[in-house]
Order: sequence, then C-alpha cells, then structure tokens
Amino acid sequence: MFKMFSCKDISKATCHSDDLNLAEKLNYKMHLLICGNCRKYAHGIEVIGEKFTEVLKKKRNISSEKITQLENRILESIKKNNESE
Amino acid sequence: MINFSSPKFIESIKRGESSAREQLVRTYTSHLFKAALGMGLSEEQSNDVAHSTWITFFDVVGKFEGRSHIRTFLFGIFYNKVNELRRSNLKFLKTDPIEEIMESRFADDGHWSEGWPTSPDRALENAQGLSIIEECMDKLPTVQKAVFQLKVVDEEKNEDICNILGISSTNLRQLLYRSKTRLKECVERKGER
Repeated sequence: MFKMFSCKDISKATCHSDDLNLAEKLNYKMHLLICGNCRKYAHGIEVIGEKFTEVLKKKRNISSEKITQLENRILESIKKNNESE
Repeated sequence: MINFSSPKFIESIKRGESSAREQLVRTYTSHLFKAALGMGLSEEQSNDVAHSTWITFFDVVGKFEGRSHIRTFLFGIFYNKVNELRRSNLKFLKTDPIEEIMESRFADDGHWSEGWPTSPDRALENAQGLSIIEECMDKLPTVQKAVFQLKVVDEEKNEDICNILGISSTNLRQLLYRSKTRLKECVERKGER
C-alpha cells in the first residue's frame, strides 16, 4: 500500500535524493510540494553540500609543480624496488 | 587516452612495464594527493600517503583480478592507509549520536516539532563561514568524511564508493544521512556564537 512519507522520512531521503526509486521519488516530490518545513530542510541540506564542496575544492588547489615532484619521487622509488627484486 | 581497464594494459602493469607504470602514476597521483588533503591530512602527510599507496599498489597488483576498475582498487588501498594513519575506524557503525538528536526533532506522528527545522544559511553567509566549514569537516568520523568527499565533492558513482570503502548501498545511504546532517548541525551551532 502507498504510504505518504512523513517529515522524518523526508529528512533522511533528502540526503540521498538521487538514489530513490520511482515511487519514492514521487512520494518525496509530493511531500515537498505541500510542506514548507521540509522544503526549508531540503534546501538547508543542499546548501551544505554546495558550500562545503566549494570550499573544499578551493582548499586542495595545489601547484602542478609539487604534484610533478611527488610523481617523480614515487616513480623513482618504484624503480628502485623493481630493481632490487 | 589509454583504457586502464583493458586486460592488455593490466597485463603490462603486472609485468612491471615502466611506461605503463608511469602512465598510471602520472594519472592518479594528483587525485590521491587531493583526496588526502580532503581527508584533513597535512601536505606532508598527504605526500607520504600518496607515496606509500603506490608502493603497496605495485606490491599487490599481481593479485588484482580486474573485476573492478583499477582506480577503485587503488583508492581502496588509499583509504586503508588513511585509516591506519589516523588510527581511526573506517567501519560502518550501527548507531551514531546524530540519529538521536534528529529523533528529538520530530513529534510522534513524524511531523517536525515546534521550532524546527532551522536553516544553515545565515551561519554560512558571514565571514567565519570558511573556518566553520573546516572545523565541522574535521569533526566528522573518518568514514563519514570519506563518504562525503567521494559522493558530494568528487561526485563518484555509488557503486564505486561502495567498492572503495567496502560498504553496502544501505550503509552508504545511512552514512550520507549522518554526514550531511552532522555538518548541518555543526554549522548551525557554530553560527550561533
């Protein structure tokens, strides 16, 4: 039987909203349509994802020179390991 | 672009062909390094983890059966290294305190209690937003941090995330719920100050 999602269900579903089956997706969308509280909550979770992604991506900007140096060191030690085998 | 999944390429890696090895290292080292930074490691630690991940990778690649992408195999090793370093637990835990906190926000019939939900918008708007984000990320349990990184920041496929971390799809949903809800809670609490 079809059971409407409660607000509590929505607070969970909104954290993995891309991973709902068709019936769940319909249920989810219908609830949001009529429930302002859950729209607010879903928006909050979305903002968290966006803001954190933005900041974390910026934070790990690192010069390509440093990466190349690291790659060279790694290749060097793999080569050594290989020769000693 | 070389197909790293082709049996021919994997054979050449297993044989230890240096050109194949170099291609692989040059392709994925920056991913490893950035993922390490994302997990909250320092630059030096990130260097070390990326390095030791590759050493282990070439030690054990002979056992790689090609059932998943070689990148998934590599990142599985990587997350175990991060785990060792942080002396933390990558395992899925049955419960998490955030679930109890959320439980208290709802009435018995499943509706929001009076005064909930709150919004993180204002806490993120002000100048402290950036440090709040770092502090809250730092507080997440390692496995939740990994799930948030892989799914939200790196937009990896669910199937790959499950393989890398060795968790079920049900666990993944639960961990996404816990991590996002914890971050939201943390931001709002810090924003009040």
